[in-house]
Amino acid sequence: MIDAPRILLVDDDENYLLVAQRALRRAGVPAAIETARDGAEVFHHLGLNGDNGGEHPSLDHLAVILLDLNMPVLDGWEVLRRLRADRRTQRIPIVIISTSDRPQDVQKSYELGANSFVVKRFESKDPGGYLAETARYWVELNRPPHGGE
Amino acid sequence: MSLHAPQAASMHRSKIRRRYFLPLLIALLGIFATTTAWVRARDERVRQMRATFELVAETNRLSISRRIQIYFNAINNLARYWQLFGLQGQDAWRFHTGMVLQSFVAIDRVAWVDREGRSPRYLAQDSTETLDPTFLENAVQHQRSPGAPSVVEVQEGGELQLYFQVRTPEDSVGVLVAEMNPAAVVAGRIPTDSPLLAATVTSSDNRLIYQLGRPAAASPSSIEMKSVIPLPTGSEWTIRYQPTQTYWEAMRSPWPNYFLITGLMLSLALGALAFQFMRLREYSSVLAQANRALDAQVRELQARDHELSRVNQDLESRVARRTYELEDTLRDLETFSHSVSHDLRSPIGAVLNLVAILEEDYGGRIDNEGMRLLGRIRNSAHSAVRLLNELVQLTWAGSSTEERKTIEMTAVARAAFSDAVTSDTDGAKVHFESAELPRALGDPALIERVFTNLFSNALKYTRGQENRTIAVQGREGDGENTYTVSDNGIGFDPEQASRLFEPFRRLHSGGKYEGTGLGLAIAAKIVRRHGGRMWAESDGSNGAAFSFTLPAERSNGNGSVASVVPQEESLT
Repeated sequence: MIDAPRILLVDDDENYLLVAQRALRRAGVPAAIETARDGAEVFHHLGLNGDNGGEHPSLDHLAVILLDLNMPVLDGWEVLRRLRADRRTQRIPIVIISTSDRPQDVQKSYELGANSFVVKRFESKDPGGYLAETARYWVELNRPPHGGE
Repeated sequence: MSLHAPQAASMHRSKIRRRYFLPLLIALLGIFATTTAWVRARDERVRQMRATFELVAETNRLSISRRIQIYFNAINNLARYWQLFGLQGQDAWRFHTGMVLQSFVAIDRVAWVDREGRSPRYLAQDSTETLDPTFLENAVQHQRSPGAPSVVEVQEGGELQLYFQVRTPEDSVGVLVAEMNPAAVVAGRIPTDSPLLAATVTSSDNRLIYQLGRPAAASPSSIEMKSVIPLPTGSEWTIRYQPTQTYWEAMRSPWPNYFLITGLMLSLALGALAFQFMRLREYSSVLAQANRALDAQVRELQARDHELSRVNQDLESRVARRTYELEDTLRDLETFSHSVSHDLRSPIGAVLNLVAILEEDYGGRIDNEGMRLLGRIRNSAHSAVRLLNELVQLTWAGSSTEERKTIEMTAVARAAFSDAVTSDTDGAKVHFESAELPRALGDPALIERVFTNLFSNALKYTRGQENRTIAVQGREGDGENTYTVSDNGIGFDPEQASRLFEPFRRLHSGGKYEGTGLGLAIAAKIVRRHGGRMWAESDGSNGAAFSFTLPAERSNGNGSVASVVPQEESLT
């Protein structure tokens, strides 16, 4: 289990987390789904806060971070900026998941180092299906060439 | 300054009086002075002439009367001599008488004859001794007349004959007759070298005795000078002095008249000048008054101008403040609109998603009525999401237009149509006519949105029509191009054309045609942000045409297309 790819889903909206988790499970994305409810929790969850050795970073097998933009305390851009500023998290794929489709929001996200930008959709059929497809892509991409299976 | 009418009228009259009075006075004074000078000059001329004549006349009168006296005395002396010493012999008589004649050349001839007319003696100036019978006869006749004076004056042919009764010592009584030439008496006494003076000597009975020079014909009698010389015989001679023609003409020079005329004219001119001056003074006073009024007006205007500029400055600062406030409000509004639409999207999206999950996971346990209600919830949430999507678009339709690129309008329109037509259930049957469209300048993504919205609108209102046709055309213009999307749908009421582009405005009832009412508003807003206009035309039944303008692609003088480098835009 410890070798399984991990997906970190960051959103302050409980409902969206629920829908997203269900969609990923139903789509059978081969990854462990972890969640964070705001920006600060991301760093706590990944063990990046400790400079004094209190926490150890847990970044292994992290296939992708699906990051919402509009969040309290630390918003998505700030999280993105900090992750890209940290040498340890520089190369972790980050996909922005946002309700916004403003061109300037998209552009800013890419400039800050996002790997992709996905606009949240609320279709009545297969809710969250698009997110599952995105996640699958990154998980597949991250799988080592000579995988364990 | 305003006056009551009667006051003004009287003032006006006095002004007119003053205007005419002074010039008239000046003119009259001038005329009076000139005329007086002229009259006095003329009088002075006469006076001068008369003074000259008077001097000459008095001198001559004295001279002439003394001469006459001398001649009378001479003749009288001759008579006395004869009376005292007798006639003596013929030779002695002739000698003695000849001496007298020689001394007194004005005595023409002398004769003596006795009472009976006998033994006449006679001697003339020219030494003729032959007695003129007429002369003798006259002498006898005078001698005989009783009570005859001792001297008798007889005018005979211009000569003056004097008869003296003489009783000689020989006791013979006779008469001495002497004949004088008056002209000769006078001659030499009056200056003959004067060209100024004409003198005329006349006797008492107005016979001309002597004339020197020609008097001027026109000379008035006022210039003449007369002097009277009494003769011992009791009669008198009158000498008239008159100016000669030369003198008269010299004295009667036209210059005084010229001066008179010039003076009169000058007076009139002076009067006219004074009149003009008075009028000018009136005008200038009127002008000065007007000037003062103007000055006051100018000052007032300046004050107003000052006030106006102050108000203007105030206004400008207020406008600037308002603009700032407005921009601030606009920013707030956009931020608000943006965040509202985004923040609302998540919960409404959650409703949609949760309904979908409920239907999928628990569909079997919910009866038909429950499923129908869930469907309603889904539709309602779906409408809300679409509305929010369009609200977002409306918000950013107005924001990012700084980036201007050359847009291949034909390609953009086709892409937009294929995008729009996918959401139409019957889209395959729509006939799409696309002409080659001129390129424009703008933000391609936004312009594609314009086309998409116009095509969606056209698709919506052609639904259910026969031969659904949507066409797009473009026309190049001067600086801006016009693009038109037309359809053969149900059209709209032309009177409502201008309201089509208001947000949330739908001209057809919501039941039949879905939509948020924002599509056209978004399109119009994008076009406006690009500096263009959008308008719609319809006759109310046979389709509609939506047109908009965009800045044309700029080209330089060579006709080559200037490439527009998209501005690097840093979005933070």
